[in-house]
Amino acid sequence: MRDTERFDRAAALLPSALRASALFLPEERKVRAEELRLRSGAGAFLRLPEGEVRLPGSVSASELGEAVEKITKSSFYAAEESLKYGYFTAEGGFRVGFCGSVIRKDGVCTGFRSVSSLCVRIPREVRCVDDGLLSSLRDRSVLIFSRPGCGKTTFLRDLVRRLSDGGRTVALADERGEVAALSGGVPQFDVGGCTDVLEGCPKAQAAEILLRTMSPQVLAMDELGAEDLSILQRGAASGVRLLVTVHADSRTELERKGIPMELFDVLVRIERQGGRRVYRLEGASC
Amino acid sequence: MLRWIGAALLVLCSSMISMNAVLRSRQRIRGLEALIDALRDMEEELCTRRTPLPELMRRLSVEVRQPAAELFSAADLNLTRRELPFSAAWEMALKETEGLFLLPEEERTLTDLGRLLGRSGVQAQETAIRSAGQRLRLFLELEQKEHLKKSRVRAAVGAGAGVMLAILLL
Repeated sequence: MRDTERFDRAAALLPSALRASALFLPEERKVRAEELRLRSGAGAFLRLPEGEVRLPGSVSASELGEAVEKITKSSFYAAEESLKYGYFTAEGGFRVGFCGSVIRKDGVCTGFRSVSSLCVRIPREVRCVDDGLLSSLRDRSVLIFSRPGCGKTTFLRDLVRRLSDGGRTVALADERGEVAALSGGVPQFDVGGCTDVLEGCPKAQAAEILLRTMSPQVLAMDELGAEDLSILQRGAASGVRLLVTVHADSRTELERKGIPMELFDVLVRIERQGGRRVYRLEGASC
Repeated sequence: MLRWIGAALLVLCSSMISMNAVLRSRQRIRGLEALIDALRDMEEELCTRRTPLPELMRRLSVEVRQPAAELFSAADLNLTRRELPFSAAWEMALKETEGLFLLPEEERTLTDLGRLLGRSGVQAQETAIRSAGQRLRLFLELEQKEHLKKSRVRAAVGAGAGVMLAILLL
């Protein structure tokens, strides 16, 4: 799917009044757009690599409600579980983040009383792993890290595709449905022919299932959290290569998060320089 | 000869009018039964698989019996083609579906269900669907009792009235 088509599909999630202004944007902007943001009372914004641009028109609370209904396909119960964590992955792999007044039960956020803003992230299918990078990363455990929005998921997806198409059996624990974006069991993104995807299951549990049932050579997981660290040891002990992404700005932050660096052979740091992504490879032990 | 033919036609017409009422009652029973079964399927699908409403409407439109299937098909169409919010799509589908022969109270039960569907968590959805199903079951029982009690009487009265009228006119 072309980037403009993907943008148009993301714009289809907007309330009808705003959809037109998004659809009529110049192609050059559609291609570079990273997110669509709606803020009740403030308006709609397009996030580009250089910053946010306001779209014509305003956003009322009822329009935001209309957008939420479209995003969740009028089915709150289907989104209930992930909304506890403030997001929902809409069809096509569009991760939508929500803000507003939350409902708490026993001290835990269980949903939203009202939504004040939302952010539709537009995923990209970028062929960023070239042959040179692939030869440095093949048959190694790789930790990919960067600040949010630098392209960790995009890199992971392409690395999975390259390894999978190269004949490795890859198991992908896609908790948020952003990497493969299964629709009716079919990945909406190219993750390679030898990839088995387990979507919507908490990462630690998914990894456990995948290790037991799919005998992978490579286990891939996106956005590892503190609660998922235990599975890394288990994965490494079973002899699979790990591909993992983590939100972190530096090695120090990785260490502070308690990531067991000794389990990885290579670290890939993704940085943005003048709107371009730069991939820096580092040895995990140095 | 013409008189006798006229008299026979009179009897036939009045019998058909009463039979029509009996048939309509039978269709109402069939419609309510199909709706109750469909709600049970809906509850199961929604609670166990958490199928989103548009997909659920599409699935039920082919899996359940008529005339309930027609209702789900209309709701699916209103959701996908007309892009209406679910409650409006459902309400319109209820009005568009012929063959359900719902009484105002029965229609209100389903309209209220449409306003609740998709707006809460699984447990609340389960409760809403179940209670709508229970209400429809009560309406069904009433209709079945009424049908048993009145269908023979209706048929007899219809034919009798026709005969009486024919005798009077002869």
